[in-house]
Amino acid sequence: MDLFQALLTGAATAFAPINILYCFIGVLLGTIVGVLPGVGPTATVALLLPATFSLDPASGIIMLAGIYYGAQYGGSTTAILLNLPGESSSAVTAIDGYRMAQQGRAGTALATAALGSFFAGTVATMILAVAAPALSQVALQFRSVEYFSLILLGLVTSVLLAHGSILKALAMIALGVLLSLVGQDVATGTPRFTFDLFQLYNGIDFVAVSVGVYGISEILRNLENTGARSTMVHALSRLWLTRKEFREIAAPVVRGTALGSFFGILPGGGHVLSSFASYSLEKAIAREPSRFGRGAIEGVAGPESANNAAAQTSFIPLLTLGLPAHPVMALMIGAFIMQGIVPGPQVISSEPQLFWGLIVSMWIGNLLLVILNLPLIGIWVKLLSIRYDALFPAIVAFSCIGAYSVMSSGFGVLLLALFGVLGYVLVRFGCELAPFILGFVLGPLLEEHFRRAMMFSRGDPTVFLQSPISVGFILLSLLALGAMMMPGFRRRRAEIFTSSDD
Amino acid sequence: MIRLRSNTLCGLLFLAIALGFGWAAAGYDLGTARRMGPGYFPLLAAAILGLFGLVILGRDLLAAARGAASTSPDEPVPWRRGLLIIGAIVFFAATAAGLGLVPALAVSVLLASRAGANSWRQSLVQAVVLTLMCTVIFQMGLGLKLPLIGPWLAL
Repeated sequence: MDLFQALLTGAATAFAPINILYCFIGVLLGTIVGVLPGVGPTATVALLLPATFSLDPASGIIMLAGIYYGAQYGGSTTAILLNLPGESSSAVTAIDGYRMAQQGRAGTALATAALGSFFAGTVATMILAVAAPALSQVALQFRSVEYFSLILLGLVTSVLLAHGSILKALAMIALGVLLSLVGQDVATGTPRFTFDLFQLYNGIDFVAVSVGVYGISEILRNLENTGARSTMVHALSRLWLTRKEFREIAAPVVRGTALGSFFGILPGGGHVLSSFASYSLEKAIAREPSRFGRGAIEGVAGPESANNAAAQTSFIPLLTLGLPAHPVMALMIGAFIMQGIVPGPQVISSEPQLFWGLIVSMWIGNLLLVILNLPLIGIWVKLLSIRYDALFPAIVAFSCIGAYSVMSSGFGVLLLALFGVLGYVLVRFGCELAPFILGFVLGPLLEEHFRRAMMFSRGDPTVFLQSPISVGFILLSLLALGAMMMPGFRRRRAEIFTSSDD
Repeated sequence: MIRLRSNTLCGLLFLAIALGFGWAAAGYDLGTARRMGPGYFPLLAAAILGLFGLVILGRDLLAAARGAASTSPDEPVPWRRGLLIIGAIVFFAATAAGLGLVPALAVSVLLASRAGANSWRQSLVQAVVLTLMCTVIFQMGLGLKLPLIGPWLAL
């Protein structure tokens, strides 16, 4: 079946009025729930997952994908407006997006995110359609050795983004990895660090961890100062971009799309990496890197595009290898299985309508997202005028329900409280949360690939230096680490971050 | 009383977590580098965390010996307000299934709201509005698996 024919098949499914309707409902619901502070994309998808089970497979998956894009955009919205990133990828958006909001440019930041995401989504969907089989071949050639080095590079990259001490950021990665290992060992089934609690056998729930350390600990931090909260007083000037701003975002959007499309294909956190990588790139090539962290529009445009491009292309490992690239994709696998479809290489040939329908509906979903959100930005921005003392009880309520819904048990809510306190304590000690979350997400994959690579090499650790690709990744990691240790870099980095923390 | 330094505590915290995890990991089958058991990688990760903890601790102790000022934040820990928030979450965790969504959430929101600068009237309004909203969105709209009124309150 050639591509054109395949896309026609897909269009027949995706343009069926009933599926457009479900796509629309999905995007709308995803945005509404995702925009609620403290409820990130993963929590949103987890919450809305059951709503799709009663539909037929194609409609159900299309709606779920719509929920995902909506939730993703909603997550960026809360990151920009309230500095509450729902997941680690939008943590990057929050750095400059929230600054922009504080400067009264929330509308511009939101419009940038919407337009960047639409462009990235359109391009990445085309890439997915044209190159899905070919691209998956590249990722297929990666063995555990390359994966391990790649994940290592990703973890080291996250330190570049940390504000404070490099040492603490590295420790936070190790802490995240360690906590991610709680639960049954995949290879042997041995329960590890579970205190005989069966609720911990599947690991510490990601939603409880991320909502706890981002949402709850943020509330605790805000309660430290009783005075007026500067976060809530931003007048809104404009909802649209000026011609100058359009020029400023064009190149970052294109670069972000390229980076995101590439990273998204890699199974294992590529989605998270892409926004980090895009931010680092934009900052590295900017004429005035010091603007970053103070409301640089490129710092929103690049990562948001990268994020969304990766969101599309992260379907490639899922659909072609059956590998989830991040927690949401893990939920998607659950949804596929509930619908009686086992994700994997056979989906393209056995379920062409579903596969190509999903691809075409991705583009429709992105279009609906822009149509829906540009006029509604005003409403999202109005969230800013809510008094914080009235808002945080709502965050507590949504966080509790979100943490409860994942396992339908109060245990997740207890974890939420625990990680809220832990997050608060760590931030008070001057530690960063992003490396921790990244370590937590990538930890299990790091272990799996480390073990597998070592098994193939018969216990010889030099195996990581025998593959050229792996050596490349390791050299890049060392280079990044080395650069961070250099006094000059450290001074500059300290300058940038202290000036942005005023 | 000696005021504990922020970085000292941070190093100690990392070290304590590393020791706890490391001790537990050492109890699992370590296996060999070629065929790793469930304990191998966690022990490695714990060792790395412990090493970072030690270095953070050591550097701060050296800095203290040189008489450098501690970097502790000035804001006091909001004990009462923090406890209200955490209490609200723990209350929901303990009672959601038993009391049901409506009473558990209403009490939790009320508790949480008291942590802020809200009058009793405002807190009550928030409790009613949020409970209503969450019930409609999550329970009725999205099929959250929680009874409105739980078995503890059933007649």
